[in-house]
Amino acid sequence: MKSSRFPPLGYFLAMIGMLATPLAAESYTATIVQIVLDRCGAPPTLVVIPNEDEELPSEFEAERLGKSFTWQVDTHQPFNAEGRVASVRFEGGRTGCDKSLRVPLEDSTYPWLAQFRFKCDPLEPLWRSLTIDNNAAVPMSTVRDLAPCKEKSLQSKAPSQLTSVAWEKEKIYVHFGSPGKLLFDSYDMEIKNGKFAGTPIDGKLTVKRADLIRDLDRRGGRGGANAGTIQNGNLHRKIVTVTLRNVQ
Amino acid sequence: MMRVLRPLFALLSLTAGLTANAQQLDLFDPDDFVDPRDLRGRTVFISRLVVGASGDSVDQNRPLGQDVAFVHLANSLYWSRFQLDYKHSETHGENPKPSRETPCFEKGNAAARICAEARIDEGQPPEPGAKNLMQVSWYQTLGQRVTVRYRVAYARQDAVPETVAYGAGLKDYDDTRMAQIDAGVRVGGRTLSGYVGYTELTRLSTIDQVQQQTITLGAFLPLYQVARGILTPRLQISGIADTGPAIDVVNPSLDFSWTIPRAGVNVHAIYSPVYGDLGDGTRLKHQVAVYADYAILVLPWRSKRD
Repeated sequence: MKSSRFPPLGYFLAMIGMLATPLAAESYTATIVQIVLDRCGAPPTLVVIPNEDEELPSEFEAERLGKSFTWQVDTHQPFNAEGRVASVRFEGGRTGCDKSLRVPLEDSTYPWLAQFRFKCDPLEPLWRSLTIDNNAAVPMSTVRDLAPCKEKSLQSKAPSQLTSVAWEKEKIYVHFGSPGKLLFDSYDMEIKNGKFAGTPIDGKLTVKRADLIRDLDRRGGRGGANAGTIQNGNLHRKIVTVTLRNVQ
Repeated sequence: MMRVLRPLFALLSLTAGLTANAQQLDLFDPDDFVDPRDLRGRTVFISRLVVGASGDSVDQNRPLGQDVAFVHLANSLYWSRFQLDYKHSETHGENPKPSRETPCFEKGNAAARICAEARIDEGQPPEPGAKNLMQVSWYQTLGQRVTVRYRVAYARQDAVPETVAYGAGLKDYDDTRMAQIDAGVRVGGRTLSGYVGYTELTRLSTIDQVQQQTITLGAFLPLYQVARGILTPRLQISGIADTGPAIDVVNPSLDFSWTIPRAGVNVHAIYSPVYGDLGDGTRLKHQVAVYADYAILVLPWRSKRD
C-alpha cells in the first residue's frame, strides 16, 4: 500500500472548513446609517458614498441630528451593518474611507445601525471637478478609486460630472454603454492621477477611439492582436471621441 | 540545466499566477491570451495574416544561420472558455536550401548506420520551410483577478531527411508537442502575465530520431506606451535537453508595436537576443524581426443563452 508523509487533501479541507466556520462574519441587518464627524464641519446634510456595494444605493443624503456632530439616514433597505465601507462628501471636500461598526438601536425593526466615524484631517485644496463626455451621448458608469475607497456610481447620462476629485491621487475608471460590473480594472477608460495614458488633463483633453484601444491594450498586458480586436468590438461602437474637462 | 531551473520553479510556486507562456512559438506568432470575460458571451473567429522578415533567426532555440522572410496565417476560434487555433507559416531563407543528404553506402539494413557515421547534423535546425500548428486551450478564471490558460499544441514542420535512404523510415518532417500554462493577474488596473511550458521536438527526419526537450519559464513585464506605440518587454529562460549536454538559454525580448487605425494594421519591430550555447559556436544571437499583422476576417456572434 502506498504511504505518504502527509494526510490526504480531504483532511486539510475539512480542517480549514472547521476553522473557517467560527471566523465567518455574522450578519447584522440594519437599515439606518449614522455618520459621526470629528467636529470638522457642520453642514445640515452630507452625502454618504458606499464602496464596492451592490446592495445599497450609490449615494444618499444624511441629515444632521440637532446641534450634534452626528448625521443619520434611514435607507429603508436592509443591509449587513458590519464591515461596510463608505466615505462622506460635504462642503466641496471629502473624507477618506472607513469601515462601519454595528451600534445597538432600541425600538426599531432591526436592533442595529451601521455607524461610520471619520476623523477630519486638514486636507489640501486639491479637489477638482471632472466632466466626462462623448460624441454620441452614450451613458456611462464610473468607479472612483482612492485607496482604500472604491466607489462605483450607477450608470449616468453623458456628460457625467464628478466632483471632489483628488486630482493627484485618484484613479477613475469609465465604462461606456451597458452598466459596468464591479471588475472595473477592465473598464474602457482609466484616468490616473489627473492623466489619461500619461497625458495630463489640463483644461480640456479630447481622446480618440484609437487612443482608448491602445490604452486598453497596454493595461491588458500580453493580450495580443486578437485581444485588441476583441476589445475594439467591446467598446461601444458609437464612441469616436471622449472629452475630458477639469475645473479647479 | 536543473541547477538553474530549480530556483525558478521555487519562484514560480511563490508567484503562482504571475508567471506562465512559452514562446516555443515563432517570434512572429501572434500568441493571444484573451480573458473569456472579455468575450462577453460572444463566440469570435479571427483569421489574421502576418507578413515580415527576420534576421539572425532562431527556430526552437536552434539558429537558422540566415535571414528569413515569412508569411503566417493564424485562425483562432474563441468559444466560451475554449480557444482553438490552426496556424500555417511559410518561411523562406536568403540562401538556397543546404542539402542535408550524406554519402551513404547501400548495404541493406546497415545503410542507416553508415550514413549516421558519415555526418551527424542532428543538432542543426531544419531548413526554412512550411510549418503547421494546432493549439487547443482552455481558460479558467480564479476569483475576479486571476485567469489561467491550459494549452496543448502539436506542430509539424517540413524537413529534408538526413539521408536518401528512405528505407530507414525517415520522414520529411519534424514533430513538436507542447504543453503550456499561462496566467494573467489583474493588479492595479493592469494585467501581469507569465507562463511555463514544456516542448518536445522529435526530429523524425534524422536517423537517430533525435528528441529535444525544453522547459521554459517566462513573464511579460508591464507594457508601456511610447509615443503612439506600445512597448512589450518579456523575459524568458529555457532549459534544453537532447542527446548533447544540457544547456540553458536566456531570451529577453522587446516588441514595439503601433497600430494604423484606418488600415487596421499592427506593425511590430522586435529585438529578441538569445543567449546560450546554441551549438553553432556562438553564445549570443541578435534576433530581430519586423512584421505587420492584419485581421483579414473577424466573425463575432452571440450565443443563444445570451
